Amino acid sequence: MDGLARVGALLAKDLLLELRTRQGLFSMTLFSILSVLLLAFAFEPTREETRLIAPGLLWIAFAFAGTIGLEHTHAVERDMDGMEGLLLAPMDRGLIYVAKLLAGTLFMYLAELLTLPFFVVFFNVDILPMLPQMLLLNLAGTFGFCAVGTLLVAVTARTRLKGVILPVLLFPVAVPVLLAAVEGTAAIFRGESYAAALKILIAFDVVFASVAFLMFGFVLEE
Amino acid sequence: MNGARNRIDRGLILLVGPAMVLNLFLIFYHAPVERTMGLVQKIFYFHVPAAWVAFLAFFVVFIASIAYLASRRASYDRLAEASAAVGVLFCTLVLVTGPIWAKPVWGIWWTWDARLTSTLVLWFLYVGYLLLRSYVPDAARRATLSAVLGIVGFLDVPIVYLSIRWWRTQHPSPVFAGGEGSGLDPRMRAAFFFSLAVFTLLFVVLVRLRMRLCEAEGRAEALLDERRRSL
Repeated sequence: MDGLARVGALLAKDLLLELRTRQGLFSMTLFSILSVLLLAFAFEPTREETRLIAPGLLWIAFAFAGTIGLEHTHAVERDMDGMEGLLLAPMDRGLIYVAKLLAGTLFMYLAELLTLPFFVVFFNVDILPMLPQMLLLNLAGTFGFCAVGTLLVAVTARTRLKGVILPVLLFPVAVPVLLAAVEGTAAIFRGESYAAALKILIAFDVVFASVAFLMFGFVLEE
Repeated sequence: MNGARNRIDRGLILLVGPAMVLNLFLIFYHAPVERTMGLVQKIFYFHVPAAWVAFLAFFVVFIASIAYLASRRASYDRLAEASAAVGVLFCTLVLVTGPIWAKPVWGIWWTWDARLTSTLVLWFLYVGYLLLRSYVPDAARRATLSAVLGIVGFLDVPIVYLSIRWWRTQHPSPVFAGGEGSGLDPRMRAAFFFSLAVFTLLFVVLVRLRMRLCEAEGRAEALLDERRRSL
């Protein structure tokens, strides 16, 4: 319970910070919508074939935006040495990971929700009947992406050029999550069962989050 | 101590050099030319051992990373770095020889098969690993951060492989039945296993030399630091 309260306090801090500045969510959502726009330019959006690749396009936009969001959740700690304060707090460093993971997932998820209407308009896909399934699958996919990303952003933040190499490290490691998410979304779009993809995605989430939780303490040490 | 290590390295190089020449002889003269694929099948004797060495190298990175985090001894970090560098080299060889072999045999350069695709993802992972190392100037921090990536990256390998096999494999099985499978001529088998042994020995030699280079770099860095402080 004690640990839970601490995670809650850390999470509340990140949420409050975001509520006051609104920088992270805003830039992430803007970038996500911009990616959808660029993809609509790149692929003829009204053609029937484009519908087939729509799940992939959607997740490309989400992955790009998520990278920016992860970078932001970590950058706020770098700004005035916030990380120093977190490290001085008498608690397990894994809890910092859990709080950052939850905050990152929440912001990325919100950015995805705000992108979806634009996707519907630009690509003329009716997602309303499949919205419940999509919301569930996106949550699992986003959590898995952030589970890896929260660890790796902490790694790259401690390099010379800060977050520059984050995508280079993150995308190869996140391949299984992105593949599962795209396949699940494609199944939903085709009107088939997405249960298999969702189950595997949740399994990936558990594995990635546990490994990252165990490794996080090493990353933060001085 | 250093003298003994020098002698071992020199001995290994003297051993692996002629062995590689003998390996070429076995591959091109001893082993018969494959009936359907012809001369191009000779790539097999380089491609598969290179793949073996690449996976061995990344496994060594994984083990050395765990050992470093547990013991904090710099030598494990040097082993991880050396092994990753040699592993990327051999992984590149795999990715180059593969398409050269695939084009005449399968008619295409590339196929989205689980093994091919995960080898490519693996290549990106460990190039990223080396890139990360070059971005962290402080030696202790570099060792810790790259150890974390070395562990996470390797644990990711089977998951990447499985996910690609489930969702992105477009042909059932290669024409060539899994490499060293049944029906291999005894002379072919001899050449193959000799090649495997020679490549592994080459890996050991290269890692040893690379580790010495890392050590020398570390010493040079320490000397520079000392000089900067005294100024």
